[in-house]
Amino acid sequence: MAEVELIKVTKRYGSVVACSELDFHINDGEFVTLLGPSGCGKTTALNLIAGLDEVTSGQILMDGAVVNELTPFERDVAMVFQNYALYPHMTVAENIGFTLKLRKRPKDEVRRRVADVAEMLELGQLLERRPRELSGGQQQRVALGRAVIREPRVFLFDEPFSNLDAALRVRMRMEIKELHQQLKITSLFVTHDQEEALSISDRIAIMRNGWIEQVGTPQEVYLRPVSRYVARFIGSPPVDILTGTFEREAGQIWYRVGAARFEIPESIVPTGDGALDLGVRPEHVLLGAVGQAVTVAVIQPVGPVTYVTVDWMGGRLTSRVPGIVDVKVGETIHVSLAPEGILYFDRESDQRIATATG
Amino acid sequence: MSRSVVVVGLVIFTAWTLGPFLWAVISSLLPQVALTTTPPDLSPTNLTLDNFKAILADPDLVKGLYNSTIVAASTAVLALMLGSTAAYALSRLHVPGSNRILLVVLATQMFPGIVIIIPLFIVISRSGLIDTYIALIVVYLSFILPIVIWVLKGFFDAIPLELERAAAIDGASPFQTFRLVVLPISLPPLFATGVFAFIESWNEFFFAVILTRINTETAPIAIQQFAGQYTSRYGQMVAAAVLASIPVIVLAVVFRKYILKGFVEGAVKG
Repeated sequence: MAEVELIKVTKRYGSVVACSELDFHINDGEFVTLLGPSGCGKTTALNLIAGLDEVTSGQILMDGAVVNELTPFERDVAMVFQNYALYPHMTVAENIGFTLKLRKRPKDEVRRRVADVAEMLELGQLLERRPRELSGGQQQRVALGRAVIREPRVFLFDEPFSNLDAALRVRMRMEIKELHQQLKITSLFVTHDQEEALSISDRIAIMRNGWIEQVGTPQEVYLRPVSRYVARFIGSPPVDILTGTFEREAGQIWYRVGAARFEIPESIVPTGDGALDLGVRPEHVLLGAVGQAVTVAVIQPVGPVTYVTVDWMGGRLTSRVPGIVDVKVGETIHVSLAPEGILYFDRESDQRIATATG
Repeated sequence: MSRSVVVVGLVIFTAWTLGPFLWAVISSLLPQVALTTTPPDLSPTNLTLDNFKAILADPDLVKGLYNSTIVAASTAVLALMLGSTAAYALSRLHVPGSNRILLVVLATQMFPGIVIIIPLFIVISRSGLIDTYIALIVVYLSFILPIVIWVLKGFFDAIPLELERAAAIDGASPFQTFRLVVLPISLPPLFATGVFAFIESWNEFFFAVILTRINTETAPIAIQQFAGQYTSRYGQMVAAAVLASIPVIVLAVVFRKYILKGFVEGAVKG
């Protein structure tokens, strides 16, 4: 178990900057996720921490000691790869025990620890099989086992579920979380799947073009994104962004988007200049008897909730409604915005502008 | 294309390829007289092992087979040692200009032997290497290595980098990674290219006939000498050819088994 700290870690490949001045800290026993689209530098960051790649500048610390010059083995990290990277010529037992064999541990100790890990990961029946005889989920577990048997200081996961089908992915997500609760080993997890990140992490670092845009708990990054980029990346269906103008009429403030306008309580309108865009998540788009009249465009029931997308001349919003809703496509209904859910973004900088309520 | 067309095509191809060899096998079991009558007398009562007995007693052929074994085995081993390390380096290390190196390596294949044989002969003769194993091995390596490097580089490229990274994380040194991970999964292609190198040198005639004299004559040269100026011992010649092809056939059969083995399958999903 260890603390990990990155201080201005930069990685350049020629003129391409893969990671730019990464600064963050992972507490002992914490589960942190690097989240971002492909090509944002998250796997590079993981490789740098693992010691598989050298930093161009900056420092990586583990438990306060600089590890820049150490090999992956000396850093004592274990890694699960996207494609599992199981040794094809070895059995499951040999794959899991390989690291102990390299350390010249006695044979019966290796056998005992492999058996323990296999039992924990439900691989007991498969120990003599070779990787190609296993299903994707089983291969994934072997890869986990190879990491777990080490009892490393840090676990690194490089998109470990991206080759699994959706149902298995959700199950493995739970298993990894459970494993982490059991072993409490500091973990860094890389993914492009925001739902995975939200569900599994203590904290999430959202990456963009090689830098970290925001670090925070799942709630923080969801409710208080620092920028339009983070707001759009987190949450599904994504936040709707409205581009319009404020107007004042009869002591009320409205936000006008095309043919529609939405009432905004004055207390939560940010002061200052600059054009603002509005971001609203589906749960804060309220359908009902009051508000702007709009037309129902799409209805998507997904079990416990239904997503209703409405539109008007010049805009669109999606609302999340509990259960099944009694509306039809083409029908006219009324929409208002829940004040506590409105996010303001500076149109120039894309940064979120805080209001009196946070 | 329908299946029957494919089958007919394969039958014709097999007959076409195997025909001459079958003819050689039959001829090797017939006495000279039966072969030289027109039409040849193929009656089974004529079958005899005399030709094989005669050639096994022929010191020139035995020596030729011995020389061929030494030259071909040395070429194969050296081609694997040099070729695998070169291919691995070109595949995994950031060698400056590696693409150009590969093109130059391939370009050496463009010269027909007949174009370079005279300068080559002069170089080897001035170095005092005519009629030595070294001359043959070096020359064979020069045209076999490029192919070995290309084939093995293609194979190493296909090994996922993550396997080596996983080994590094598991605590393997670079040499342990090579010995315990890369080498075992590379055995089939190494074996295949090794056999290829062996067969190429074993069968080679053109350079051997020019660069050897009495001491290092290889099997193909010895076989050719059964066709003399005044008489040709056809039966013994084909018997020698059949005998010389046995190692090649054995190797080819094993080679086939290995090359079909999808060893890397399962290393990576997808």
